Amino acid sequence: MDTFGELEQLVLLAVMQAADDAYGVVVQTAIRRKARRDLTLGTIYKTLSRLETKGFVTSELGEPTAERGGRAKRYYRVTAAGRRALQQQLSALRAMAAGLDIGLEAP
Amino acid sequence: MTNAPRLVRLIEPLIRADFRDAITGDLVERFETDLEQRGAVVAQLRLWRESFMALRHFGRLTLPHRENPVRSFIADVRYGLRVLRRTPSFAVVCIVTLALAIGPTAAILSVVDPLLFRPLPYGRPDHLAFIWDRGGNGSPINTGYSTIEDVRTRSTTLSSVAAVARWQPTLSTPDNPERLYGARVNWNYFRTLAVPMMLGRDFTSDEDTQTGNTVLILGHRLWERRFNADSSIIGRRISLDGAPRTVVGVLPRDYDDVVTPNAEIFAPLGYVTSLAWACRMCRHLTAVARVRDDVPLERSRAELNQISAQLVAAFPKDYPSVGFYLAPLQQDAMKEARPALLAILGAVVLVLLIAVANVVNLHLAQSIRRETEFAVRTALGASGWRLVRQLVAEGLSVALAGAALGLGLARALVPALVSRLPATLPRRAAIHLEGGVVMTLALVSVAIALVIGMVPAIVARRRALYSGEMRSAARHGTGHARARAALVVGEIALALLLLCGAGLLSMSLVRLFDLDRGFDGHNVITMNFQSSGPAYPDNVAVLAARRRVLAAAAAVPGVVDVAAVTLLPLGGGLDRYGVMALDRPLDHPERAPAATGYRVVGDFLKTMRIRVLAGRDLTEADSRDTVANPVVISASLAQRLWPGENPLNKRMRIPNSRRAASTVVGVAADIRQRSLNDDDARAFYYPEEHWIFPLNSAVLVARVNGNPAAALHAVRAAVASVDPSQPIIGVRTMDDVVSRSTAQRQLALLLFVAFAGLAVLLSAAGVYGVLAGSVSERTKEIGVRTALGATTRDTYALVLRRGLAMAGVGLLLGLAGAVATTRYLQSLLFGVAPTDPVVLFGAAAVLLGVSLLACLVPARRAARIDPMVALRE
Repeated sequence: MDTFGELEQLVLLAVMQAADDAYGVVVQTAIRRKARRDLTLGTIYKTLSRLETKGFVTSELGEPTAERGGRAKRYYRVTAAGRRALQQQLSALRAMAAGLDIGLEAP
Repeated sequence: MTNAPRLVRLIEPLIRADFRDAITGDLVERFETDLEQRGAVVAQLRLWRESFMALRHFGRLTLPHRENPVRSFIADVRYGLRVLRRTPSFAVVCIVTLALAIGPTAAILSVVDPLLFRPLPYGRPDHLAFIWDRGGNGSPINTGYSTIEDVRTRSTTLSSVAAVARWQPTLSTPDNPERLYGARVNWNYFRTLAVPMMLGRDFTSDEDTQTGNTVLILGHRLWERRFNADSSIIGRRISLDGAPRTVVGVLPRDYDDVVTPNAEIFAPLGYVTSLAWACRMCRHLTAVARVRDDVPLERSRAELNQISAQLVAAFPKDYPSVGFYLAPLQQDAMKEARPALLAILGAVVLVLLIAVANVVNLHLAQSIRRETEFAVRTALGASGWRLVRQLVAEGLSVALAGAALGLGLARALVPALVSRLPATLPRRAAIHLEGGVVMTLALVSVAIALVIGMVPAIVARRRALYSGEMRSAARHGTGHARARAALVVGEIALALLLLCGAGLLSMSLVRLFDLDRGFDGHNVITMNFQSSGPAYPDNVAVLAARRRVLAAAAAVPGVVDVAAVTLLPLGGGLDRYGVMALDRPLDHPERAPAATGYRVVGDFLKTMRIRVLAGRDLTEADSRDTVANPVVISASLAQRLWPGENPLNKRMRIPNSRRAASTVVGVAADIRQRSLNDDDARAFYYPEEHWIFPLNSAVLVARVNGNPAAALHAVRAAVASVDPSQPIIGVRTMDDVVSRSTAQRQLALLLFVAFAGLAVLLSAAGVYGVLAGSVSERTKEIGVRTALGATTRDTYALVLRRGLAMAGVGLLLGLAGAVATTRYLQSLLFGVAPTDPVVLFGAAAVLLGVSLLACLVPARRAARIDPMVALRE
């Protein structure tokens, strides 16, 4: 089974958070706000296209929008396989972190 | 907001089509948001970054991840040239310094290599050797033909032995008679040397007889010069000394005779042992032998000494001492020139070392200046390797320019050097400039400069960068400063060596020219004329012609005295005979003291202003006096034959005289005969009429009123008018003859002076460079000192102390080096000890003076530093 790195994890989570409105700038803003990581759009799209080839996300082009000079957005959605992979990875992390005082507040 | 920023529109076509809209749209959105929230500057900066990364990940043109090595090297070279253009003084000084050292080094190497190191152009040249008899003091002397025959038949370690005699025939053509340099050789001579003919064939054994001796072999240059390189020359008869000979062969182009330098025409020797002039004492031949391939030279030498012992036992009166002298051909042929050539080579290597030290020094200084650049480039991600490659590109540019300039210099120097080599030196024709040497020297020099001068700087910078301690360039430079000072100290020491050499050589030459020569050559002109061929069938005809020549020369206006002589003092010739006092018969006639024989027609002593110490000069009547048979001898010979007695009217025996005894009628002052520093002044002056066989050629000496050079032409024309078919050579003033006799020393001196001058200049530049660098690094410090009350004098002292300390250490090392090495010049010195304190300290004083001058410029700059300006910087 495919695993993913930290960058892919962040991008995948951000896509899930944005629900139906997941495109570049939104993902970028979410990661900057919540993860305090300043990723460029190029890096984000590179990661997304890698996730897409692994089958963890799908994408579709939206309608051209006026405020972007008539340019279409590319929306992303997490697939079931993506969810499952994320689930496994995060629970593994949680299991490993359980009982350790690593300075995290309880959820 | 439909107006996307220009940058986005610019990169839009470069983004992959499937992500183009998504990404560029996002870029616009991002930019607008940033513009609102964070202002124009941040928005713009972020846009640049975003655009760059977008292109990197989704650009249709992939940015180069791996560089094209050729293209990046070209970029390096162009960058290097730009750097060099920015610091033109650095580049120019490096290039000129390299050229000034590399040009002469390559020229000298090109001259020395064929003379001393390159194998002779013969087969297995390491197995060729001369065989000399040994003289009374064990020194090598020529051999007689019978001795050579005996060696040939008795030796088992030699595969062949050939005898060679000098020969100067006249090529008789009606319009252009020419005296040629040649040799009479045994038929197996070229077989011994293992040289095949280019055209025709070698001599055969039946041609090496008295009757069959009618053939010729031509050297390649003569064949081209006089026979238009005509291949149909083989079989043609040409006239030599008026007698026809058939050309049977032409030697290859690269043939070069070291046994008889400059020989270009060869005929068989045609001797048999029964001939009168083939005797053991008739030592006028040179023996050349080939040692068998499987025999080491040492074994052959031992065998020859056994043979010599047998011969001396059988013919005790024919040999002055036991043993043959077996000398490797190349070594022996060059033994006269070797010390001078090696000294010159050593000198130029010192110049090269100094130049390299200077270039290293310049690079060290440059590397301090460029530390910031290296640091910035390292910070931007340039690898150490990348920086090294950059430097290699720069170095290549400098090396190429230096080599080009040096090549031009060497090209001019080689012919100038060749023209100053002694004319009797063999292998001159093989000298030509090796272009590869120039390039190799340039590349090696620059490589050394880069490795020592630049690479450590890069390594240090990188280490400093990674460890986070970027120090100021000035502080970093202290280690460098020490290295640079050490280099300058070395330069001064080497320069002093050269200066001492130049001083010793010039002192020697001064002393040589100061010597009493025993004759006065000023206002004397000389030329070699001859009377040979069918028009001069006997001695009477030859001597009559000689008197006609003298009369013609004497008739030229301005000519006061004339004479003809068989040998010219200091002219390079040698003609010696064992002479005996009749009242003191010798048990061993072979040990008779040798004296130089001058056979004269006319007033030789008077023309040359050789003083008559006792008795009288030869007169015209003496040539007809067959009873007394008068002779004049030199003071040295008188002292040797009749020590403490009055030699006048004593009788002596002179070999080859027509008479059994000759009467001493006068004693002449000693003169220098072979060279200015030749102590052997034993000589006799004898009327040519009393000799068994007068020479066909003689030297005319004429004393003129006024400028001798101006009279040369008129006298030559007068001599030629007697018989225009006879060649005249060596037309020059006696002063010129004297000067030429010291050609080798003069060449050595000229080069040492030139190299020493260059070395002093380079080391002065080194002193200046180091001090100027340190003054500019210490500007602030000197400013503070001045502000705190240091006077101009103090500042001068500060700089001068440093410079003179370097000079002082360098001079001490140099003096020690000079004491250790000048003895290698010994054979070129005369009248001065290799460690002559006047020369050594004089040279040191000169160098100290020059160093002081080099210190003054930076010192003055330091003294003029304005403390306010210095501190504000």
